[in-house]
Amino acid sequence: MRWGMLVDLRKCVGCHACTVACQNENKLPLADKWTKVLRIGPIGEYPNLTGYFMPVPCMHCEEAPCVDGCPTGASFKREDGIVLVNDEKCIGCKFCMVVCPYGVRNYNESKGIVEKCRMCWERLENGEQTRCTETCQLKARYCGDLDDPDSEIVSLIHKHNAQVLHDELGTKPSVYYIIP
Amino acid sequence: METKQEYWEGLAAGSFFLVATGAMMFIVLAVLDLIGTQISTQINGWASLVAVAGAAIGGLLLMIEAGNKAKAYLIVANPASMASKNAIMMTLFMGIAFVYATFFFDFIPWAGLEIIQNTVAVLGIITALIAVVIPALELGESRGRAFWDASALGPVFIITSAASGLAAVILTAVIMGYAENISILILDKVLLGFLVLQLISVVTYVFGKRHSGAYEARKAADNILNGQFKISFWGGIILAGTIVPILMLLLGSISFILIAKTVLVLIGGACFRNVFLQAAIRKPLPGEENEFLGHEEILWLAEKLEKRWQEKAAEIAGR
Repeated sequence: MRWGMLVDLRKCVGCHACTVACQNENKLPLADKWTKVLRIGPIGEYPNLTGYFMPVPCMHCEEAPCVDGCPTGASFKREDGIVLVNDEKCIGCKFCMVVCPYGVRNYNESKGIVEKCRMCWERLENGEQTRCTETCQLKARYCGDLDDPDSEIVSLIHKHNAQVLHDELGTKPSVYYIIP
Repeated sequence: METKQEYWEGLAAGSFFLVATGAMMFIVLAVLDLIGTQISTQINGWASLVAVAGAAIGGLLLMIEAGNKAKAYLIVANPASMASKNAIMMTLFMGIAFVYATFFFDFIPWAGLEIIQNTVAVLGIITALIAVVIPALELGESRGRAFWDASALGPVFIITSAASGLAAVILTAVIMGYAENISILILDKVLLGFLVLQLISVVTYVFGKRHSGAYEARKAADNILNGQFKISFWGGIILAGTIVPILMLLLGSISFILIAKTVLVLIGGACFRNVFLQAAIRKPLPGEENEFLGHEEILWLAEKLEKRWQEKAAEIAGR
C-alpha cells in the first residue's frame, strides 16, 4: 500500500479551492499554504499560446530528503508512504525546509515547528478522500494506492503518461501530474 | 521563486563559522604541540579554551535558530542524518578539546602526562577535522540546491576554515603577548599560503558554478558575483578577507599589523559562510516565477483585511 495523488492539469483552473479547503481542514492561518497553486505560462508565441495551473502539495517522496535529513527523526515516512512530521519531536531547526526540493514545508512561528501536508491520513484511514480531492470542483485530483496496478490512479498515470516534479533529483515523489 | 536560501540565515552561518574556526584553531594548536614547539606549552591551555568557547557559541547560535529550543537536545536523536552527525561531532570535539586544555594548567593532577595529552590531541584533531567537513556534507544533502556540491565544498571548507583557524591562533597568541615568537611568525607565513589557496579555491568554486549545467547553481553564482551578495563576496571575502591580508605581509609582523590582518581574515571567513549559505537557491518549480502571493504579501493582505474588518465592526457597533 502506497498512497499517492494524481492531478489532471488539463482540468485545473487555478481556483485555489484546494488551498483554502486544506487551510480549513487543518485550521491553518491565512498565510500558511500546505498546497500552493502555481500558474504556468503563457507558453508559446501568439496566437499559439497556452497556460495552465499546477497545485503543489507535499510530494510524499519515497526517497524523502526531509526524512533522511531530519536530525531529530521528527520527519518520518509511514508504511503507507505518507510523510509526516511528529510535532513532539520537531525542534524547528528548519533543515527539512532547506533540503526539500519542492519548497512545500511551512514554519509555524507560533508553535516553533515545521508543518506540511499530511495527505489527510485520518480521512484516508476512514475511507474518505483527502480534503483537497473532495473539494476540487473540476475533479482534477485523484487519490489512491500506487501499489495497486488495478487502481484508478495507476491506470490514469499509465494512460496519460503522468509525470512527477523534478524526477531527475531521484526523490521518487508520490504526486503525479497529467500535463496538458 | 527563491532569490536566496531563506530558511537558514545569519545565525546558522555564524554557527558554521564559529564551529569551523574553533575546530581548525584546535588542530593548529594540537599540531604545534605534537611537533614539540615551545609556544604550545605557553598558549595551548588558554587558546584551546578559546577554541572550545568559539565552538560552544556556534552551537548556541544553532540552538537559538531552532524554534523549539527546549527540545534542542533532540538534535542528536537521529544519527543517520548528517545534521545529527554534525551535532554529535561538534559535542565530541568540544569535550575532547576541553580535556586537552586541562593538561596545560599546573593545578590539574594530570597536567604534563605527555602520552595521554598526545593521545587526546590526536583524537581532538580527528573530531575537529570531521566537524569542519560535515557541514559540507550536510548542505550537500539538499538535492534541489545544486550550488552546494558536497564533494567540492568539502575541500573549500577545509581551506577557508584553516585560514580562519590560523588567524584565530595568531590573534590569541598576539593578545597573550607572544607576537614575536618564532612559531607565530612561521604560522603567519603558513597563513599566507592558506590565503592564496582560499583565493584560488573560492573563486574557482564560484566561477565553476557560474558555468554549471544547473540553472539554480548558475543563478546562485551570478547572485554572488553580480547580485545581492556581491558586496559581501568581493568586499568581504576577496578584498578584506584575502587580498588585503596577503598584501599586509609586506608591512611586517608587528603586533598591530598581525591583529589587523587576522581580524580581517576572520571577517572574510564569516562573510564566506554567510554568502555560501544564503546564495544557494532552490531549483525552481515550473511557474514558481509567477507566484504572485509570497508569504510576506499574504501577511500584509491579511493584516489589511483584519484592520478593515475591525473598522467595519466598529462602524456597525456605532450605528
